[in-house]
Amino acid sequence: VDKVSLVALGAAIACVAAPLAGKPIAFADGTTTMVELDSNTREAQAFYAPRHWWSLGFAAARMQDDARTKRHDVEYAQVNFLVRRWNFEHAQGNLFVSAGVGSAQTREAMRDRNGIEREQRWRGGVRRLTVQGDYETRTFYTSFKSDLHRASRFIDRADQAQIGFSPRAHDYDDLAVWFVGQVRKYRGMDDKTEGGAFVRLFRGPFWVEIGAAERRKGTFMMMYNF
Amino acid sequence: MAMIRTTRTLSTGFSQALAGFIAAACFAGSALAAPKTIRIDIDGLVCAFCAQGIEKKLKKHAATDKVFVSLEQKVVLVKLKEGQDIADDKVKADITDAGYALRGIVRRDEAFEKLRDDIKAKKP
Repeated sequence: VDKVSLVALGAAIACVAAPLAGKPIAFADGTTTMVELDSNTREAQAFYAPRHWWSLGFAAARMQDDARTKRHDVEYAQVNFLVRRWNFEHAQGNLFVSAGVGSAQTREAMRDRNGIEREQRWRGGVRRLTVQGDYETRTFYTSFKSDLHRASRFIDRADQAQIGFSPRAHDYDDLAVWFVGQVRKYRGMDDKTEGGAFVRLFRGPFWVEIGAAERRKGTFMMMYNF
Repeated sequence: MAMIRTTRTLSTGFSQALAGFIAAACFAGSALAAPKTIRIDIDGLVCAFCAQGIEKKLKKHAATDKVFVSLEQKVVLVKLKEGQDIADDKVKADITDAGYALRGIVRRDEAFEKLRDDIKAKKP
């Protein structure tokens, strides 16, 4: 019964699971930089981890809807915590929680009663909360991420689940090649669920993901640790 | 009288020489006995970032010459500089502070390169 409950819990978490599967903390005394680009999101993050269990940094993101009528620009300071790590002989699991505060700016194209297009703008504070978990061996990978941006004017949420495999168990000096599928559910600016697939490559401090989402949308993510 | 003084001088000289020889022998012995490589077995070592963090930590020690990480064997080798060592508690602190679980530390007299090649040879 316990195993069934655990599997059900894992599946539920995976189903609830947001953009960017890169880890916000790579290692103690390490700096992590990440860039993500897709048709709805452009995001850049930089974090420094004094210890392996927390990091602090800055992030900026631009989120747009599919129709290109709404745009949210957010910039914030963010702190990330490794809440729990599970070290197994041939696997590792991690649970991260991140919180950020900053400023947001929105632009929304609207038509008035005369049919004339006008742009509404707003600026104010924004908070971000992210919960992210992963489990990986050298050939299997799964993760979830739930990412929430909340301001008085809007709430944007993206939940993401990923599952991937590597055809070959890589070592430290090898190029690691992974094939990853993901499902992402957006709420707020767009309400939609989108599937995608990408190739993840990493070697040493570099991590790159190149792929495609539905309707021929390209995705790109790069992470560099030093 | 002069003979006794000479005997004492010789005796003192012999004692000093003997002490010097023993000290030199002990020093040489300890240098020969000093481990060349530390082998560290670790749980949770599955990705390049894990390896990068541990490598960075271990390379900060003055006694470290080289570091080799095998994700395949979940092993880290540290090549020590001649006559130098890193205390177990420091190695343990490096691994746990990096967020990994230490399974064991073994000091080996074999050369770092030989142990590294042995580990690589076990790759499927």
